[in-house]
Amino acid sequence: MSAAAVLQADCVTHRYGGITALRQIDLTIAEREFLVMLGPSGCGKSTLLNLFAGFEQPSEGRVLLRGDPIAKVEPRCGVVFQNYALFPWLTVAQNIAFGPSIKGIRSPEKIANLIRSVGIEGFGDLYPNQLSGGMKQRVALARTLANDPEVLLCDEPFAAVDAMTRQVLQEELSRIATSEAKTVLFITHSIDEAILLADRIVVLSSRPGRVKESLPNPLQRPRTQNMLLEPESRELKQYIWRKVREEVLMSLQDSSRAS
Amino acid sequence: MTAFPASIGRRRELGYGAAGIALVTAVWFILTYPFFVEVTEHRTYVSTGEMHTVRDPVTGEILKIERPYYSNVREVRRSALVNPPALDTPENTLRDAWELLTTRGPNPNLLEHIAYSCLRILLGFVISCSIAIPLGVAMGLFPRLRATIAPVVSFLRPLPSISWVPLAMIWLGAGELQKLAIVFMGSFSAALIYTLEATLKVDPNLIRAALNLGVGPQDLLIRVLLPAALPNILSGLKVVIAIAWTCVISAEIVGTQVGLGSLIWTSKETSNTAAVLVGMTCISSVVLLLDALFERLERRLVPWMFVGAQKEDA
Repeated sequence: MSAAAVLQADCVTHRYGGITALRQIDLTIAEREFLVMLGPSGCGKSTLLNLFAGFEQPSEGRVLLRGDPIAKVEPRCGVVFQNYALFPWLTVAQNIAFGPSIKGIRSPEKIANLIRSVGIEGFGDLYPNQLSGGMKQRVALARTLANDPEVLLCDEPFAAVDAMTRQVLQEELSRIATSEAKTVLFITHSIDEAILLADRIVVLSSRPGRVKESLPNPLQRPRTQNMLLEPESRELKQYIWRKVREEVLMSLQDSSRAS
Repeated sequence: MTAFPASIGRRRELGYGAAGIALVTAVWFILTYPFFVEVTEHRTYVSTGEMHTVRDPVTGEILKIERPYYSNVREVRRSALVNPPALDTPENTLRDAWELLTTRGPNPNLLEHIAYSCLRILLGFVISCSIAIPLGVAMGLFPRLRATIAPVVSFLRPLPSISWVPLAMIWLGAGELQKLAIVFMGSFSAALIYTLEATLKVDPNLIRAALNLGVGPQDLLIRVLLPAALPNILSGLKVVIAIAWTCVISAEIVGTQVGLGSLIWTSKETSNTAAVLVGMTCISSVVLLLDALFERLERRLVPWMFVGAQKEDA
């Protein structure tokens, strides 16, 4: 993985009020890299993602997209939200076509292709209210892809989906990210999910968040759920769990001290 | 398992509903049915036309007078548990309703009463919404504007519509403008607050998602904020229409001979209970009808709020 850096956090510190969410974090995401960020609750994973999306500006340091500072909401970094954030007044097809329609582009074939590729054929005329959580997240993914972003920023997208649907969605995302050659920053609580999806896994420390560990994922692609049971990945899982566990304990101590 | 039993089904609900209405009508009928019969006897003078002559004992004059004849008369009076003017019978109320509907005299027809009240409400409501909705959305978007206007609205909101009657009369006399002003003042602050709340309740993630998909600031209002706030604005306006009704009834207490408010107030002056009941029934029916029409409008404007969730997982 020696391609050019697409996303870069350069000595970023971010504070909310009196709380330091991130402290002097450095992170680089390479072209076509699928980077999964793991960390305890409140470690600032989502904050970093919001900075890359341009939803917020860092208190100190710089966030860069291909070397340019991200100064406002950046459509080239497409976000997939945990709670889907679908527009309830638009049908599935209209939701997916939203980004292109803003630019005045109408391409029904492209929308139909996306609907097919995320597996929601026949649902195009329904409203999001009529869909299950798993279906909604497929629509959200398709809506983001329709806008042709250079980077996908996924903020625990499968956290609210039931376990069986999650497995299917993980496989689909993995397939789409590879076939569309996307750079992905993916946030999760789940070590299994990280091992299944990531080219590289980054463990963040408890608040204030810093990069504690950055390890390449040796598992071959394409990956399946079964591979999680093999000795190689069990070792990896145990290693990551030790790292994450230290941080979870730290953050629990912090919060009990605070209360 | 829910704590309360589920619905009993549409048909049964309708059946029980009809039974409820029948029960109230039956109670009304029983209360006003003349069960009690009171018989009184009294002597009364009856003219016979038979003349005879008598000599006046003082002047000695000869006078022709009718022979007095007294008869015992029986009078039968019927009374109910509750009598007019407290409560009139269902038949009398229906007859009054029919008379009001068919009158072509100097007094206004029932349909005119209804039409005038509806027009005053709709006009006042439209004027108040056309100012309150844009202002409410703007207040949601601009915190400074919100901070400036909020205290004024907090002051206006607790004022009941009837408290606007004196000022409205002093400023505008007793004409149609005064009626509109009362409906406007009574419903404006509620419409403003419902719109403001609807705007503030818009999920910030939707706005982030839209910006992330490349929406510019000018498109954001039309394409995201308004459709996102619309369902809550509409359900607020439904309440505002009901408030507008209380306003128009207050406004029609004085200075008009036409309108459902005027009908019930003037009927009260003549103790005409039946007409008061007719007026009240009309108010209620028109409100129900407007509610139904409004729901149709909602289904048109925010169809996505009326689709059921399919409980089937991917």
